[in-house]
Amino acid sequence: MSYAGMSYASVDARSPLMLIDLASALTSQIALRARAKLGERVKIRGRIRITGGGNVEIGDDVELDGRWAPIELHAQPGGTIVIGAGVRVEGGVSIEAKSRVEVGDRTVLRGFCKVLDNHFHPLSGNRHRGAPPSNPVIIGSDCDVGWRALILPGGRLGPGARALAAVVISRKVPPAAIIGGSPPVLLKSTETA
Amino acid sequence: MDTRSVIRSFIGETFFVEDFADADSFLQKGVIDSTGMLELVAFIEERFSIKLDDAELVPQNLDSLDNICHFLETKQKKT
Amino acid sequence: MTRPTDAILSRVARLLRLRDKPAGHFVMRAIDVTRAKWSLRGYNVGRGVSVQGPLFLDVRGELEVGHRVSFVGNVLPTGLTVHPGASLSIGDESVFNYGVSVEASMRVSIGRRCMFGSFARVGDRDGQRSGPIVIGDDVWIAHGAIIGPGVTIGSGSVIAAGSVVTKDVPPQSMALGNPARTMSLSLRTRNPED
Repeated sequence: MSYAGMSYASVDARSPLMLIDLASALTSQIALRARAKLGERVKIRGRIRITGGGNVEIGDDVELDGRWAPIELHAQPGGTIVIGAGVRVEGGVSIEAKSRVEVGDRTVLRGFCKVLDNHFHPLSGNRHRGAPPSNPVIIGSDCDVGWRALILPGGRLGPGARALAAVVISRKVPPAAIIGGSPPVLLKSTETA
Repeated sequence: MDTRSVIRSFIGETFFVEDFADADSFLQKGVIDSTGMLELVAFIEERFSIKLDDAELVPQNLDSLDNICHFLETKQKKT
Repeated sequence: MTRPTDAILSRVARLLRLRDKPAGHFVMRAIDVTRAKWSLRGYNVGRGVSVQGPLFLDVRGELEVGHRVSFVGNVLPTGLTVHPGASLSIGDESVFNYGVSVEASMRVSIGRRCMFGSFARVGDRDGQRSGPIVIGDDVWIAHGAIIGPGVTIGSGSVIAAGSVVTKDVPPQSMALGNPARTMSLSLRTRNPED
């Protein structure tokens, strides 16, 4: 049962917990088929948590690698997550959609980055009373979202854009541009590379 | 370029807004959110060589081109 | 993956859809509360505490968990570490998402109705300093934020996602950035209901 808290299992093949890893991976295979629309040749590895009841579409040749750390795909009812063809999703990545999150073809989402189209809690008052309005996140094709980066509601990455590690983005990034740092700074695109 | 134009051009380039009136609320129109505000503040501090107190980071001082210009004018008069 | 394996998995997948029905939620909640009683046995724990996913405990000091505190999200464990001689207290109805780390080497005190987003980190000792951390009531610490040693966060405040907080945050404010600066909570995009 995936519910019995598999996630703390190590990946050490000699450990008796390996059985839990296998069970968890197996459950992920099943869950993804139950709850998502899968394209051809999708590589599902390790633990994928797919929750929320919304719509998840995964394109051809996508790789979801949750062997080291689980991947979370959470689309709420009425919400959609679209993952384009050839996308690679590394471990620990979390995507949350109340309305719409799109990840373009051949984009890479590196470890522990997070993409969300809603803050899910109002900033003040009773924070459990309901979510603020959503603002869809559209990540273009051939993008690169860095390790632990955060793409907040309203973030848009044009094709070929690169978000550097740990950057927090809530706005538009032009095609082929590079954005990084805190506060985020737009480095003019590939002309200077 | 005067202060108003400098800031208008920064906002246009950074947040990809083509058209906004001097009195338009950035937050109301969703042009800039909190993270954007931080970028705006960092830009103002660097470009005009001033330091803004955390207490000065309120909509009254930052939430429209008019507000920003008025705030900077007042602040520069004090120094 | 071979075709027959794929077919079997898909068939099992259809059975799994039953879990998404409302009755399933009631059963899951009962499991969460039972699991909390087991994970937190022996500590000073209030009523109605629930643990949805794995909880990693390394408690060699004092731990106090208030009523109806919940640990949600079944992705990566949330970890509570309390060193010898240290104490950690968590106020009523606070909520912890997955992957949160709270580590007390001196004292960490968390108020009521606080929310901790995934991978938030609260640690009262780092390579540079150590000092008690006090978090007021109704504080929202968003995904991935880091609260450093000696920080006091006033009630009602919001720590924006990814921020690194190294200085006190007054009540009813927003802290944002690395290192975080504090700004008015009103500097946010308006909700239609506001």
